[in-house]
Amino acid sequence: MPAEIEDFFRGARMDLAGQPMAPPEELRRVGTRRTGNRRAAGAAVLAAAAVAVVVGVARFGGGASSAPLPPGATTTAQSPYPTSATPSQAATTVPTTPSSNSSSNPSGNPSSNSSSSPSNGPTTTGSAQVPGATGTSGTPATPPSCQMNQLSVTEGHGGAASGLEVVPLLFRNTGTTTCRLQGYPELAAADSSGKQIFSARQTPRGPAGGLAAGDSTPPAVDLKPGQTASALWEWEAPATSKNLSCAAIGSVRQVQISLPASPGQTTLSWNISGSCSDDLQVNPFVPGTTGRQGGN
Amino acid sequence: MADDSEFDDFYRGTSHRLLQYAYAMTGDLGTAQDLVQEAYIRAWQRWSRVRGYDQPESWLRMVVQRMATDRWRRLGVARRARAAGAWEPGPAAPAPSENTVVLVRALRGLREAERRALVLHYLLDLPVTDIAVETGAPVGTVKSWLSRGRAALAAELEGVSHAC
Repeated sequence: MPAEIEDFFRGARMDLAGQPMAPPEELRRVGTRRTGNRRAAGAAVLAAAAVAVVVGVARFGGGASSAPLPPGATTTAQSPYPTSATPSQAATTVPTTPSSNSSSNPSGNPSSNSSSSPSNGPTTTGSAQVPGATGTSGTPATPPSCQMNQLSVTEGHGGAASGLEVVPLLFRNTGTTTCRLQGYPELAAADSSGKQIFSARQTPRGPAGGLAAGDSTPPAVDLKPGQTASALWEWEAPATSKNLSCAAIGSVRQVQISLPASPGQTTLSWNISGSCSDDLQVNPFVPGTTGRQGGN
Repeated sequence: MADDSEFDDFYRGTSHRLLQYAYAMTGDLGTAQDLVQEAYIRAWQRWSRVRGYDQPESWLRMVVQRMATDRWRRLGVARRARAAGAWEPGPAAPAPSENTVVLVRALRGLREAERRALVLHYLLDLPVTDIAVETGAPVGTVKSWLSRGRAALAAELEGVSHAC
């Protein structure tokens, strides 16, 4: 009963998405105050307090003063987490043109899988006691293009209709800043050695999703940290085959995914089910996890 | 200040996932809330560094993991949370559904490495390669954790549903 396990997890995810969370200002306040306390203790204002802190640090493994590093970390300045992207595949194209519709994003905010989190903007209220705090507010109007190394790319829950396999590709912002996806991901079908066999056509919409009917301009999808955009990958089984032999198509074992404006790629394994078609399409990035515009 | 709003955005975008992780790993929602708050407090204290990581969520999960597995640290977190008059979800917080409670209880019956792999993969949608990096284990090991964990979980879930 494999499906059942996934159902349990999906249910848990939805359940917990509804849990109220502490307001972030509160956590910042506590953190800032603690840091301040530690400084005061360090200055030996209160000897007893200093002892208490030292004991605390010893007992709790130094968690209060030293940051544990993620696995594989070497230095603090360096990124501790090599992504699956291979920088060798340099981007050859397009220094993205964020283009005219800067304020677009027609169907509202991209809803991530924690979609119930309040998506109100960055409200910076209350306590800004961080030393050196001067300016106000933050996010620029046009966020920078998402880079491959700040995205986690996975397969969403798709489905196979008759003669059609559909997989939403999910692009989750795992960084700490907002970034923008607009246009199409680049998909190439490759064999087990990574050699590309054919690449996907980029179409505004396919049989199962993509942009809303009548729309052909990919929206700008701004991803806050943790948010997810999707692009639908559609594979039509009835042969509209070009010049490739069925054997060549049958040797596809992976799909390489990259972005036009960022180096690096992610590879997903893929076992096509014996069909002989190279009609692979990919639709534009849209908010949410379904690969369908307005279809959350 | 830009740092504030950046941290707040990051928190709003990721804290539910960390809560899911903490709850599934510890089996207790109150503890999970405490651990999550503590992890983000620590993240804020060293935000200039954490924000530069490629995978800051991975760092947060590790903080939670360390606090959760060490009883002393966990108690320390709870005591601190109480002493600081920590924010509490209040009565409005919806209780997890029965299925979720059953799942979390079943996860408790698994070995920790298997539980962690299952949670990262099925609850947080992490690909196997990312789990390998996060746990420092080879991909093959992660795959075997997943398959053994699945089997064990299926058996646990079976047992629970018969018991009901």
